[in-house]
Amino acid sequence: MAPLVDTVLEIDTPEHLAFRTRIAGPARRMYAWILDLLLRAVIYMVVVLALGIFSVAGADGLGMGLTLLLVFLLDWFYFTAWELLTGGRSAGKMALKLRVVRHDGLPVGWRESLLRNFIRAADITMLPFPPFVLFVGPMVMALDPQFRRLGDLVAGTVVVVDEPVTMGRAVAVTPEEGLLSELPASLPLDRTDLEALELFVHREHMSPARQEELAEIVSPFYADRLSLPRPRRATGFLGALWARAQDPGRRVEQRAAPDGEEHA
Amino acid sequence: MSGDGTSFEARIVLRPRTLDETMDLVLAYIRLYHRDLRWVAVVAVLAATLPTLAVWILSGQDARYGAWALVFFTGIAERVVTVFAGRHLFNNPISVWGAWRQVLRRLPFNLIVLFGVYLPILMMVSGVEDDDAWLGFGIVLGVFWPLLLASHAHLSEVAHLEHLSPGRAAQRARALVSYRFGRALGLLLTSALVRFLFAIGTYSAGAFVVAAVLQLQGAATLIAVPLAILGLAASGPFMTLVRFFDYIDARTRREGWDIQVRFNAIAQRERQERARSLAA
Repeated sequence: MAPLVDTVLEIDTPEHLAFRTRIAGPARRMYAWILDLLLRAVIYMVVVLALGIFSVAGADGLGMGLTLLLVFLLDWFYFTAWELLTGGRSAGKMALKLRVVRHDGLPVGWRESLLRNFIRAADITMLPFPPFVLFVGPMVMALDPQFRRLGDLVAGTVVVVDEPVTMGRAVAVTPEEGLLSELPASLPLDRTDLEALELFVHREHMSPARQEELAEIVSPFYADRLSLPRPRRATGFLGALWARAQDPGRRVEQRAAPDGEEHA
Repeated sequence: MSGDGTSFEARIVLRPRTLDETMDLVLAYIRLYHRDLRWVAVVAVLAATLPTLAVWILSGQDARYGAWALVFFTGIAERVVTVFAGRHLFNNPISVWGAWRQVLRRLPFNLIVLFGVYLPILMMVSGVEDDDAWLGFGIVLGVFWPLLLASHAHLSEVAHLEHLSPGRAAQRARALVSYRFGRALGLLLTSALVRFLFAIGTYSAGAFVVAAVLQLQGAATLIAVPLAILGLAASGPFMTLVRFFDYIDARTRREGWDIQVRFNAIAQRERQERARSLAA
């Protein structure tokens, strides 16, 4: 059977640690590219206006020369400069939370950055006749499993989504407080169980009936593992399990509160 | 697997995704299953392009007739792709002709939806030459139309994949975009942008072949409209898959399909462990 289709990249580090990161596709990269294009246009306009001082002073040639130099630098070194200064992110990539990395997950170096950005010219080929522009890059990106354009293929780089993991997300399930006090501090739950519970308690906009329907798939098994009777409200039971897994000391604090001895 | 033999095992990793990630997923899906999808896509593109071109040429290259024909033929062909993808994604057998039969069986409903969806555009196209009032009315309607369209973004998927009546399908489609109206609006705008890019891209590629490869300078302008029609039709299968995968995303979020898959796996593991311990 074919593997399940996904848009993540698995990287094995030299320390034999594997991590998964989302590959950035053509849509997101196009928005970043447009933002960079706009920024370059703004820089260009501001500098050209500033260079207008040379024509006022009668040195038209110098102004024109500096303008051409600026166009050359912006065309060929804008992305490389950003990527080297910010660890693989141009302004547009920062806004869209993207980062260029080497195929082994390490930060992009000056060689890779120069190479991928010099080949940018081939990704957007200019023609002297209609249609004038040929978007080779997006077509190559659409065909590559890691959405790499020509420059990425040559330089051995890949663009990934650089989104931080969100902690403290809203919990959509209310734990059954009565059950919570009955649960042991150490739960017989493995990583698979905890990941599934994590998804369940944070999923918003699900109807209570659907929550209950889903919770009833696993709650009898968890109740048996803990030698507890079948829960009356499966959703609340799973909520309590998750809350206990997050804060194993909660029962101790609750029970200690009346006499205050257990804290001591 | 359900009692009637319908499989619910998706070929993709089910989890909530952003719209751009959904588009990436569609590209990855097409790359992996292009052999399965190619005929439905080719038939859909041809079924949309050839009759539209015929109508456009026979009407003396009248843009109004061309637009009406494009709306009709493209719309029907896209619904066929929706039905096909709905079966294919969950490992259920479906033939191209089977998908066509299902769509044609609900032709009146499809026609009403299609002309409802594209009404302002058609009114504006019709009004350009005949009557300014129609043009004005079309523009006014066009301002509010995207909001209405976004709130029914998944009408086609709901109607064809959940086999609901038109009224219930509309109600269900509205429910699916509650809490994600902005995203539905984004899907609508993305769809318009992608269709435009496909039209431009097909024209560019065609013009490049004609002018640079075949060295027929000047012929590119002659084939501009047919190439743009081909491009718009070719965007159909891709955008239909994007809309369908977005529908899957809406259901994954609202109905926790990804959670169900994980919980079922846990339940399965528990049952196996119990069976093993009983056997021991």
